[in-house]
Amino acid sequence: MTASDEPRRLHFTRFAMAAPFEIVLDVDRSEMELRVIADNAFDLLEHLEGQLSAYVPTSDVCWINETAAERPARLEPGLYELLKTCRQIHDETDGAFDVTVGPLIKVWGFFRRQGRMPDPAELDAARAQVGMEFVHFNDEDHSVRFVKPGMEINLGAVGKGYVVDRVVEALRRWGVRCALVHSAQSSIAVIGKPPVGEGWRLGVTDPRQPDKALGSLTLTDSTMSVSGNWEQFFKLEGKTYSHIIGPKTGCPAQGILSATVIGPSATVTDALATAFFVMGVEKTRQFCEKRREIGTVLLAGDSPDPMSVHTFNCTLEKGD
Amino acid sequence: MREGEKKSRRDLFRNAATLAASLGMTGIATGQGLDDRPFKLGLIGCGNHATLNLIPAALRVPGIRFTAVCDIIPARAANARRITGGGARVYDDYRILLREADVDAVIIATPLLFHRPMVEEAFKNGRHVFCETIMGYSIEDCKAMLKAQKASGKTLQIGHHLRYHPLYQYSKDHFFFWWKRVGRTTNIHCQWNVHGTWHKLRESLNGVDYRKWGYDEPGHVFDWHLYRKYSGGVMTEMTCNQLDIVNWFLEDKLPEVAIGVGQIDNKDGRTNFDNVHLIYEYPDGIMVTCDCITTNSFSPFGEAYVIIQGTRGAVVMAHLARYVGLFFLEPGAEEELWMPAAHRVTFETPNAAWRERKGPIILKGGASGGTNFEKVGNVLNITDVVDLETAQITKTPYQIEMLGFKKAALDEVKPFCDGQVGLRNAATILLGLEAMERKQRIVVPKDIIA
Repeated sequence: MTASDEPRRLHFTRFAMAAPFEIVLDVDRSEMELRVIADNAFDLLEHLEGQLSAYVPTSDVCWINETAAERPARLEPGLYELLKTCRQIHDETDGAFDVTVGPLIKVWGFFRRQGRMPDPAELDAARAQVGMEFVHFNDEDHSVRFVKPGMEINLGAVGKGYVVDRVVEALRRWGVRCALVHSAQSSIAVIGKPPVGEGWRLGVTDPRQPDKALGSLTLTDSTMSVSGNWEQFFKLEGKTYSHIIGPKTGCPAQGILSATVIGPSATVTDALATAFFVMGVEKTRQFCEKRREIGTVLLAGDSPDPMSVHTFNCTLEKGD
Repeated sequence: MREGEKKSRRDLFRNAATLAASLGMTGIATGQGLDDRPFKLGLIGCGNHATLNLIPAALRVPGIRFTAVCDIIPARAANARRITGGGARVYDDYRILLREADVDAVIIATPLLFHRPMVEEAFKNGRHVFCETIMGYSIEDCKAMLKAQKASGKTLQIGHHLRYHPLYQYSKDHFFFWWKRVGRTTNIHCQWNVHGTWHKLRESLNGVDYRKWGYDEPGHVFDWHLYRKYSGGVMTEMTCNQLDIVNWFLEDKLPEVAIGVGQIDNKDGRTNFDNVHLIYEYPDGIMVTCDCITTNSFSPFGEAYVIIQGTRGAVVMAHLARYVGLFFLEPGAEEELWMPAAHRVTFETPNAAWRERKGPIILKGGASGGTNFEKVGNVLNITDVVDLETAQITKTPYQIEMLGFKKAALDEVKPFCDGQVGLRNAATILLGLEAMERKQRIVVPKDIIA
């Protein structure tokens, strides 16, 4: 293949949700048209960040947390459906995924990215305020209500996936047939397949050497999300505490180094990557046996034990 | 005594309370009871601004319900219907909506050219009106809209949303107007730089007769802001926000002189300037400069900001995706007691003058989202004025302006941003535009808005 035959791609990057967000578009039209598409996609991204972020005081999420214990909070339909999806995944994973873990994230110090060990009393108090079953939904007016005071939603475990889905949905509507979209490489979606090759080859990071890939997965018109313990954690007395907290135990999940999930929706794969991290190998295996459309690579192990690799409904290709 | 007389703390607190009352916040902000009186809205113009900013804000206001939506593009109207809850009746002709729909008030979020006829028609049909900025295509249009409002006795509010933003309110009170921490103000600079073509994606018009609505070409339905026939471009759609902050800080006085140059950098047939530079002379010796370019988004403080420069210091108010406020004390200026303990940004710079200068004090927010408005109370240790702040923390400026609009309409009180505010902002913008287009120094007639 000569250089002129190689497919050309344009990369557009914006910093959002505390991470780089990238849109890669194949050059199938003028660069100006692609730039207009990217600009409009980033407008959407900015809006969604303002809606979902727990760090933007005026966001819908902060507003829900402020008002929903006092009165129903009417939501934009997209956000309402997202919360309903979260409820559904919560039920399907027996509570391993729960967006009401906001109080737990705060007592463990992960909200400010300053992890710390909470004292037992504050941990108990925070745990008592967690539970998706305490969020009531009203389909009539798209409102939610907390039936316990002090509850807090945090969409950190699903927000990036949701944003990727919404951007991909917009790109498809605008006629894009070949693209890759990712938020900090933790939630990725691909549209179509690249002009060369069977699909988009995406690396699965080796959690013990995060700059290296353990293998790869090939995707077309699909999404992939990763939850790992190598980015946000703290160490105490030789033990590593990951930022992913088990909603039931109230403590950082142990035993899994990373969970990579592929499926048709980045919202779902993002949420499941967190859930599988909490559930561990056996429960994830059982889940994936029932849900054949969900592919998973779990990397398990506690240092200094050797790492074990578990794949369900997908094949991890070796090589770079 | 430092330069620039300081107002008393009591004055400031009184001002804050008055402002809160005028914004219609007293009940909700202080927890004195929920105003859930019903208020039926119609939306005219269902583009991005309406669907991304105005509708979500209005839905947060108890009692507000959208009963009608209107857009000439069917997909946009359908989308607005969906996100307003699915119960609104859909119109493609605003005149029919205004005549027939079950609405108390309408939001007008359409291209600038259409503001006047829509507002006049709304008042003719006895509706309250919330009209997006800038108020009108010309000063004459604004005056006609005010006349129609007066004749109807209904409310007219203009969407100057930055005036409802805590960052600007706080900076105005604490650094400029009341406490004058910046000293005697001589210069204000505002800017909004972006990197982009500003083209909007085109949707299917599904046979819409765009000419009937005054558009020359189908593409203009989406890119109307690029053409002078419909709008003043970056002046009337972007920098109007920063210049409105200037007008507000300067008590809505008009400039005395406007000078400007503009050019078109995107050579794609557009007729509006996309590279503008203005100088205004305001009363009391205050010079205001305003820039907007679209080829490069670089700026020291994010894409959009306003800087007040005085003899003691400078305050920077930047707002786009994040809210950032900074106070730079001039080298040698006396510090107040709270300042040494305030959270500062540190600079590493070889510039000698900057090394003498202490790092700026953070007023609000943070670039990474790691800090928030709660910090303000701690940083400044001023508790009696933070009440207004905390009351607004989780409300977007759009939400507060919708709260205010509902209260103004139902209680028949003057809105915080009424037609007079809109007229003065529009006059400022339009005079700057005229200076650029005529390539002349415009001396503003004293009676221009009479």
